[in-house]
Amino acid sequence: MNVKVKIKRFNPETDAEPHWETYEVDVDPMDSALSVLLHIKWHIDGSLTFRKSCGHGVCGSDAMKINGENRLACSVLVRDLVKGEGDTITFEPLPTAPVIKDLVIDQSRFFEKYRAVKPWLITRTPPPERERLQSPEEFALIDDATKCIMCGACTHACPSTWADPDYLGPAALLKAYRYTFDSRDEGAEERLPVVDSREGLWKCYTIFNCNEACPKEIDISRWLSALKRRAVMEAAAR
Amino acid sequence: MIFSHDVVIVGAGGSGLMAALYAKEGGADVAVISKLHPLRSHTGAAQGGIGAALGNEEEDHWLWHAFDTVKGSDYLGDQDAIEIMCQDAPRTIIELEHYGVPFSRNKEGKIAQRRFGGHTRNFGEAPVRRTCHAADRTGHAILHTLYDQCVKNQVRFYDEFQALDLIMTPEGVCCGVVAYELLTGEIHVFHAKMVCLATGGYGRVYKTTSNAHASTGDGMAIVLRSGLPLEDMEFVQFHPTGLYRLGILVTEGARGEGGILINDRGERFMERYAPTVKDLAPRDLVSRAIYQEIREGRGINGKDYVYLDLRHVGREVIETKLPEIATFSRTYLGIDPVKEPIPVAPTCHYAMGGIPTNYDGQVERAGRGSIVPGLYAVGECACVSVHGANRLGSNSLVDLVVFGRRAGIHMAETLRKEGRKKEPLPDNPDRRVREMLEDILSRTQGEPVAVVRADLQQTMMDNVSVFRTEETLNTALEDLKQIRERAKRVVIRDKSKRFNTELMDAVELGFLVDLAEVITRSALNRTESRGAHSREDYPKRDDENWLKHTLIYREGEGEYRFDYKPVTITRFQPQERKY
Amino acid sequence: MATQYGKTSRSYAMNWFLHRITGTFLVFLLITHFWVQHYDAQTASVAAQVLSSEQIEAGALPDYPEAAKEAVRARYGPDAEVTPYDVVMLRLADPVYAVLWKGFNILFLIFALHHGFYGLNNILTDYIRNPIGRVLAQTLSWTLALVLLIVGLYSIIVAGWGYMPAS
Ligand SMILES: Cc1cc2nc3c(=O)[nH]c(=O)nc-3n(C[C@H](O)[C@H](O)[C@H](O)COP(=O)(O)OP(=O)(O)OC[C@H]3O[C@@H](n4cnc5c(N)ncnc54)[C@H](O)[C@@H]3O)c2cc1C
Ligand code: HEM
Ligand code: SF4
Ligand code: FES
Repeated sequence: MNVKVKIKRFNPETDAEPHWETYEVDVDPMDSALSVLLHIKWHIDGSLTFRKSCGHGVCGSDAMKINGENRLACSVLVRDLVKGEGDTITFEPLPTAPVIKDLVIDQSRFFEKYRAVKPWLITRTPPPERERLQSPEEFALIDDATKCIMCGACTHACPSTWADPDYLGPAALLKAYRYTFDSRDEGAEERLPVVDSREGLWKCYTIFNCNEACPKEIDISRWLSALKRRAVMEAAAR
Repeated sequence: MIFSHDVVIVGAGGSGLMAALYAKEGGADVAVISKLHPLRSHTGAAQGGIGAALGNEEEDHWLWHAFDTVKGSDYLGDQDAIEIMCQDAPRTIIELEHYGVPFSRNKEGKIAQRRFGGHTRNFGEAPVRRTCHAADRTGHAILHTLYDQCVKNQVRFYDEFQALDLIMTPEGVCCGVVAYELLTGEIHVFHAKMVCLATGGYGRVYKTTSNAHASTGDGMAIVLRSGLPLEDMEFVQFHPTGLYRLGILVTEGARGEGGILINDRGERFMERYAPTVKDLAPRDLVSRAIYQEIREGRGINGKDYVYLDLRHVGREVIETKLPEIATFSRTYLGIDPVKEPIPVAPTCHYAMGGIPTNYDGQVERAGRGSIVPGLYAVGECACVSVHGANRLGSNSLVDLVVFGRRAGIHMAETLRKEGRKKEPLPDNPDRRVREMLEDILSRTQGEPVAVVRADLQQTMMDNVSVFRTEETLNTALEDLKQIRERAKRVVIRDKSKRFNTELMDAVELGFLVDLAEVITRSALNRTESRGAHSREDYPKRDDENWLKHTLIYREGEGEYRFDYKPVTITRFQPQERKY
Repeated sequence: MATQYGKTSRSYAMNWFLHRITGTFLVFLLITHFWVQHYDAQTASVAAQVLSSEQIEAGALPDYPEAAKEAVRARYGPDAEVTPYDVVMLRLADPVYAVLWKGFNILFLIFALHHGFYGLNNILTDYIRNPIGRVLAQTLSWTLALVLLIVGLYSIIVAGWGYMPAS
């Protein structure tokens, strides 16, 4: 079918401002949005730039704003983006992130926030000879949160991030949850002060945009609420 | 710019991060350069699990694991390396657990293990639960945890830097790499005491593949261009069940849960090819069977695919045990596996061959013991060789972590013991890269990269995939000769310095051409059928002449030389491979 | 690793928790407040009736429930004019009743001010990001809250004094 593809393009090397470009392409309704971009790059305009790798929603490279929503280009099909012949699909970079070129954003701030929450297992007791035991119930507590592929769709869909780019954001906070609630972790004392801070957890107003954006369908708001309760308990105990 | 580090690791998948972490913990100054952000590496796509004889679910021994691996390799795996891998596997998994990998758990709270194709108890008696997993995203769990640990240990990362050449001294010592920084378009020199390649596989040589767009075999091609050999390149694993047209993997687990393959007539055809194990036969065998059905006109509607039928398995099992598979087939094919069969076809999945190394990851330039000083390789780009002619499911992740760990420890220890100095850089170490990029950027007339690449992938798919004959291989070589010329003239439209992915596409096309040629030549050279290499004109395994590894060297553009290396046999004498 | 993001600062957990608590209490306080102001026959100081501008210019007053009028007249004589002010003051003049209502109002005042101004501060810090601006905005807003608190406390406490029954 024939569709119009409208892409917000920007190369800071040559352009003063981002601009829209429209391409008319013939696509199969079963093609992914990523295949549409690849088709344009490979056969129409090789300078169109975006990130991609796995092509099936596991590497987190291609989160972008498609028809106004943050999603992975590889995980949404044309038939779910257009109603019929001649319809338009729009592509933009993730909102509020600095743009490197076209749909490629600078993720250094996103990953700096991730690093800030001490995203690793912190233990004090020396490890046993074998694995540390963890019951299936304890595992179930972090199972959902470990699905995160760090695509950034959530953080860049969050109005708190839009308003305050320094806010840690759902992805980093979810990572803090994933380790703090790991039954093997003993690092709450180090990690909680980072998330229980001015730019931390309390800028989450439970808006649910993150849940809606997450391609892995993680119940982010639920886990952040659990982290808030935990932070309050710790603060009360101090 | 010149960056200087003790150890430079190229590639940040499971193997590269493992090497980085252990080298760093061993006290070395470690930098990792990766063309993708580390978390985007293809290790994250591994679903099924990682094999180790932990014995958490039932009795198991590393020696049983070793036997299965040797048999799976069609006796081409080196048994000393396989023994080391299987012995090291349990403690390496325990260390991963201590680092925080969120493994699924059994009732006792231990790491949960499940069955996987080819893994058996007591030397082939019955299937054994050996494959440790983190739900159906084991690679993802391992990759993310390793990255978290590297960040904690302050490993220096150079993200979105693509290595394009090795720097060797005239004496043949490796002392660094040349890398292109995507963000700025600058060419940088990394000066190092040791370089470790961990660049993954080359699945993109083929049209249909389960591999990522980034799996272009860069490390292997760079090594080949540096005059070093590649080993066993004829062995390419095709996974039987990739989603039709897309190649996205449907894990072996789908058949493990009772799924069956059917042809256009609705026959369960695997009954004819493997009467006892049927649909759970090893990957090479099932892929061949599917191709045979397609060739004989029994593909669905006469087309080039068959059905994977899960309907009788039931909603319950599909939703709980195969959720990812269900999601993939619903998302990409609009097919609900509960109600309809899934169209599948073999998909290029794994490179058994690669850069020859010993079991500490040191690269070898010829026979055993001929080390290239300062150069290591680990992961899918390396060939230790533990997978021989065919890899077992869940044995790649274990290869990554065991040999990644060993290489990391070895590099750190060598540095500590020898206190090695950096070899001085040769003059203009980045000249070759500069010329290559300038050449590509200067062209104005020619075809786009994608067109030439598509032709390359098509001929490889048609002529050098599951079945091969002298005729098809020669056809491929003819095609490749022209494709090589066309590839030299491809034109790119993006001439900018900033984040120029099209320029890298053109460079990668060059790598793909080299690798395609090496795969095809090696396949033409080996006149027997073994594991994944199936020559219809030589249908039998020939231990007398071919129980040996192929080494292929590049002698000039399009010119190659072969050499061989004996297979190390310790305990298990070659037998006929029956399942 | 020291980064610009996630700087540790003092804990805000308790502020957030209090915000929730005050929010929850406000539900009950507001319901009671509305009931007393609008619906209770004895105490409603706001009538449901709508007056036109001509009526207001003509000095008309809304009509109160009989019970409220009676209560006012019982205290100020049968001819007393009934204004909303009178109804409120009456409620706050009764010695026993007043303690209860003044207590209620003070609680309502504190909770609403904390809740509202904490919320306002959240919004301000979302948009004002330089440290000096933040301190300034916070100082200003909490000062305003303090002024409002004092004004509020004063009016609640002194309300109804002059209405003490003569006897
Ligand atoms: C869909 C799928 C499922 C799988 N499931 C399983 C399983 O269940 N069990 C199992 O054991 N195995 C499985 N495998 C195989 C296994 O996942 C891979 O073999 C393994 O992950 C390869 O890891 P690696 O570290 O060698 O490379 P990769 O993870 O592929 O990483 C390569 C790295 O090198 C970098 N790189 C590449 N070229 C350059 C360059 N020129 N310069 C700089 N950096 C570069 C990339 O950025 C990347 O970081 C699966 C494979 C696939 C495709
Ligand atoms: C029914 C009574 C009320 C309830 C249950 C309630 C509840 C809440 C809650 C739970 C929040 C926090 C949202 C979050 O951070 O997740 C909130 C925020 C807020 N509330 Fe209330 N509230 C009530 C009444 C009021 C009143 C009367 C005011 C005005 C005085 C007010 C002003 C605010 C403001 C300004 C915010 C800040 C919003 C933000 O943090 O961005 N609320 N309220
Ligand atoms: S939580 Fe979901 S949306 Fe956010 S980074 Fe992780 S996968 Fe992406
Ligand atoms: S390309 Fe990997 S998530 Fe889309």
